[in-house]
Amino acid sequence: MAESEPNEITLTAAEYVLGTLDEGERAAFDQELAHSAEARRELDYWEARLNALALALTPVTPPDQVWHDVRDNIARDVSADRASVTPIGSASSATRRDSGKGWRSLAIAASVAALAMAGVLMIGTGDSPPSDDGAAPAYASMVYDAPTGISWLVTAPEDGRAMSVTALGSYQVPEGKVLQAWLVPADGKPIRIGEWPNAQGSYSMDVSEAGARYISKQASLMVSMEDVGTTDQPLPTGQLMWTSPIARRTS
Amino acid sequence: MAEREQLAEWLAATARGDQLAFQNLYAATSSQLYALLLRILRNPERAQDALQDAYVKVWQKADTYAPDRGAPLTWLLSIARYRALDMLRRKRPEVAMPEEPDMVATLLEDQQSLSPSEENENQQSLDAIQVCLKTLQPQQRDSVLLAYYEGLTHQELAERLDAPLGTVKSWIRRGLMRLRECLAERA
Repeated sequence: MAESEPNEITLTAAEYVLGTLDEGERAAFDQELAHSAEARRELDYWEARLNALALALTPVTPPDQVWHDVRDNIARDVSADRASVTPIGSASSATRRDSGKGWRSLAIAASVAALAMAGVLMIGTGDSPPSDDGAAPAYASMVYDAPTGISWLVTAPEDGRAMSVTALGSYQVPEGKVLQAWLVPADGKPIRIGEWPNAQGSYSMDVSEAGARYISKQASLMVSMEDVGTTDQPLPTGQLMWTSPIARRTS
Repeated sequence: MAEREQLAEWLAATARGDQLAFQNLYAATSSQLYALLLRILRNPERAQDALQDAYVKVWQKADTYAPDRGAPLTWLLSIARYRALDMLRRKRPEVAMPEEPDMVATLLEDQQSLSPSEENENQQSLDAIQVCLKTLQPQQRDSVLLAYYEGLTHQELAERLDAPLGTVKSWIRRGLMRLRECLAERA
């Protein structure tokens, strides 16, 4: 393959895209692609040209279920990739709470590292995410920024009106920008909660009565980055940074 | 259909994990991918499975898209079509072949019936390949179109077109060579 004439490479790339190569030829071209920039260029060339043929077909709207399946699939992907929700009973506050009560499946994927990190921080700050009256929180979520490894642990009591946020690190927000938190109902528009903390520490965020009603309805937490001075907008207009499902305690 | 820049923006945001951008991308492009998958797989359930797989792949691989690789939509179509070909190769016996003898004519009719739309890059790409296909000899053109729209292998093309395997291979390669020349002339 390495000594192929340019025409041979372009024809093989074209047949690779068409799908007419047999298994052996295909495998050989896969190897070619691994070390030949020309082969990759030819592949890109033919993918762009031949796939224009698909544009001649009349578009057909797929059933809504496909999107729901895609969304569920990537949610699992995100959950597996990110540490997910910390089981409340596993953190340092376990002695104060009935740690035997479990959380929904989101907790399953929680990593040991995340748990240890959460525990250390809670001890270090002398604070914890439960509601002020000491009752175990009814909801939890975890927001995670993969590039920096910074997480935010979020809990809320049954009435959903006060959200406790523990930032496990300080996230650098560009000048003129501010992080904004939103509640996103399963099938509804985002509801603004307020400014999302970017400095390490523990915080309490008030949630409107309207927003609190949605916490119990499979809502997600979303954080966007907005321009300073535009945070009174009813809907996010800036870059969406992270989303995380809100898990409810099962018992 | 959203323009190239918008799709590229959504793809870039998807690569950063922006689920809303990904949803927008899906809303803007899934009907085109689904049409292709239906054409190749000829089974709605399998086409929907392939569509789901394709977009999960898009979510995972969005960071590998670069504008110099072509228009975002054709990049997405590539992912979907490779997925369909994988499914065909694994489950070919279950795919019911069409009975109608003039499938190629139907494919060409589809292309000819495409109404002129906005002069965007996608339309220009389609125009270019359609014009160039018309410069191919009929057997060359039929072979390329059947391979593209139905995912047929050389052997399957030989059976479908009732021609020797070597002849079909030659039609495909000569057709592709002519296409390359024609597309270069139009560039």
